[in-house]
Amino acid sequence: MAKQIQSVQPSACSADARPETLESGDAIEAAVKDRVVVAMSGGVDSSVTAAILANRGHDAVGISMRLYSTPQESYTKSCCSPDDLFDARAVADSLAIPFYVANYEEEFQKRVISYFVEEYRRGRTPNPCVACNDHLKFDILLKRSLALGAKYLATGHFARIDRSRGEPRLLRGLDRNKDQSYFLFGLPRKALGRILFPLGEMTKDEVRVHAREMGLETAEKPESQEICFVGGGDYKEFVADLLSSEETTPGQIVTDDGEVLGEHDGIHQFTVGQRRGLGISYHEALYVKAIRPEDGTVVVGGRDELMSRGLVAERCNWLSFDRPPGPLECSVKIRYAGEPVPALVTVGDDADTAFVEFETPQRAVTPGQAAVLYRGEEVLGGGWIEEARS
Amino acid sequence: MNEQRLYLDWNATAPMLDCVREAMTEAFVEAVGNASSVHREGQRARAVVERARRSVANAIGAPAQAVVFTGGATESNNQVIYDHVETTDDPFVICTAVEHPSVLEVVESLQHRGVRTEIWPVDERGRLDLQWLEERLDTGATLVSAMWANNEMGNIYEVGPIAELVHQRGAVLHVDGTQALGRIELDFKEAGVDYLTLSFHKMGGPKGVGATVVREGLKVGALLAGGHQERGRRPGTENVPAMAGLDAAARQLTSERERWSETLHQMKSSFVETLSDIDNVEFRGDLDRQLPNTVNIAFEGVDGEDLLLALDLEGISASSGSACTAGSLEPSHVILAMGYDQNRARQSVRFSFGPSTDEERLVEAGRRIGAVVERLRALKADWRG
Repeated sequence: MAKQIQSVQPSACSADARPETLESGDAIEAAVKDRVVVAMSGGVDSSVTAAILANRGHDAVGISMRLYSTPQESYTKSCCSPDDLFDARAVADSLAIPFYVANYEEEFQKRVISYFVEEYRRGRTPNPCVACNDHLKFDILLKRSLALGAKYLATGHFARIDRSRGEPRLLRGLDRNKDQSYFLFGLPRKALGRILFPLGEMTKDEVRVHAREMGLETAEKPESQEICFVGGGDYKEFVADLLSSEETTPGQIVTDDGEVLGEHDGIHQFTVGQRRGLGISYHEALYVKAIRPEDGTVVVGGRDELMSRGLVAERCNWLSFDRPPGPLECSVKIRYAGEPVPALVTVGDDADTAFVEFETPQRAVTPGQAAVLYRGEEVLGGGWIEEARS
Repeated sequence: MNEQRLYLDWNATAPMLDCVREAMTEAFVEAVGNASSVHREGQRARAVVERARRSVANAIGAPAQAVVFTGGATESNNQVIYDHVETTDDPFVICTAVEHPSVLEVVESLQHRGVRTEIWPVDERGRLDLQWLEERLDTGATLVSAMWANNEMGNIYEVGPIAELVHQRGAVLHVDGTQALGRIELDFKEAGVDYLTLSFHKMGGPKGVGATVVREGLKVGALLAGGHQERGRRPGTENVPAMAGLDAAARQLTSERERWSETLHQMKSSFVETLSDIDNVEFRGDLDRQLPNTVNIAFEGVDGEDLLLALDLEGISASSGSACTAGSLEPSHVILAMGYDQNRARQSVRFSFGPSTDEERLVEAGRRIGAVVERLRALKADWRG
């Protein structure tokens, strides 16, 4: 963990640049004759993505990824159930584009579900959407797209890629409520040149309007909010079901002063910042402050005790440069549902570890989540939160 | 089929023969009655059904009364096996590991019901060992189900010797002849088959109709209740236009079968020659006894699904594995039964064609397949290592 920090002058950058307008939008960038594979989940966003590209005359090809099996009788609201695949097929059919279903169950099990369970087992809070983007959508599906002779892979993410200044840059989606750039920090830099996000400059409402205007079957389909493979159920139950008793780490619930408040039967049930379900009564509201996988201790404290001055992130990925040219004054987002906050970031020798110092302390820095670095609209890169620094 | 496309998936289903389409179109207009009605319209419909029965029987060397029409080979396979178990004391059912799911899954369901069953394994080329069967027959097997030719590998199985062995031990033999029909000679009587199940749509006949052919002296009962049709063995109003199509397909089969086989052999050798020019290919299945219309091939380092999709976008229709409900591909149980691991199983791609496939275009397709394979291999080397 203790890596040498580079001493280089902070590079000048502005943390609050205005949204930029793009010289060349994604769909305009691609020549009309180019083949574009569209990742179709059966939801409204990817349906509109496919429709936009098909209507512009691209050689659009739809692919749905089958990621896990759901029992036939189950009825879930999340994506990738057979019903969703049928919806995607129906949209592709109405657009008269070729459509395929690719079976990636094995990879998804290994790269996403196993990772998800393992992180909880270790007392961390995983982000399966990032893992899915890194390993499924923008790795194996992108490779398959290129294998099919496609120039680009398009998805319905709310994010933008600016190609107006040479190297493509990943930017936030214009719809601030839907911006999904946080989930995309781990893309291979080389892949940006092969990706289109046609919805990046639209709002969710505009997407719905487009879907209705184009008469897409999925126009009124509700949002999927839950973790897709957990379905409508409780993720804690899902994790508990997949862990054997030897794999769980029971322990004590203690305060910072070492006062033992109770016991629990596995750290996998806890998330930093969690208040409910601790099963203890106390004179003030208690939150999970830290989880120690070594001995199963869950440390709790009052709301004020959750603040951290910084964090350490590992397995960093850089999108704007091979490695930061020096300490970065930028903003950092530590959870999807949160805004980027100003910070100073330095990196270790191999640029794999980042040390983040917030301008003002932040609540509930959660190991296992992503720390994504922004400069204005641009996603500079990010890493996986290893620990909070008080 | 689209002018620019080349359809090489005849083992899934074949383009309809012109004579079949014409016969069916005519029947939709001319044979409007219910074949069970006594009036003239009914008589005309009945004539279509009985004519089809004679033509089908004639095409496969069986007596007309042996032919029971059904809704397809899947239904026929279910019918034969379930009926055997219903009507046999202490049934013991054996089927090969490479049967169509409409046999294999029926046998698996019997196993769950407590019926004795066993799966006849195959070797790495998909071949069967008669001695294995002999030993099982000695332990009381009552029904053996073995296909005449396999849909994925194209392997042809020697029905005659199997029948002989089965009969020596007093068991009965069911043969699914669907993939063999139109490609090699099927002689029901000479081969000594007890139950032959068929559909005609892989040689250009109509879909949704099939036949269970039953040897003289044996019986088969109905799967469904509620009608006397097909002498009580398959209730439900006859699909008369489909029967007219069957009639036409069966007649064409009788007159053209030998010529078709020759044409297919010729085409296959040209196609295989072209494919052999591609580096690191592996032809799979029993190359000594394989249907003249089927090539199962693996290109080292190339995923079968990638290739299949890339070829489809190039206008060539092939097949790999079998599609699930949602349409995604699973490695086929056939290649897994041959002992391949998942990775190598996923490399298999099947090309299957028919007598009306254009030989020049087939050879041209072989070259295009080579180009796509090279493209995929180059990409794999390039992209992120």
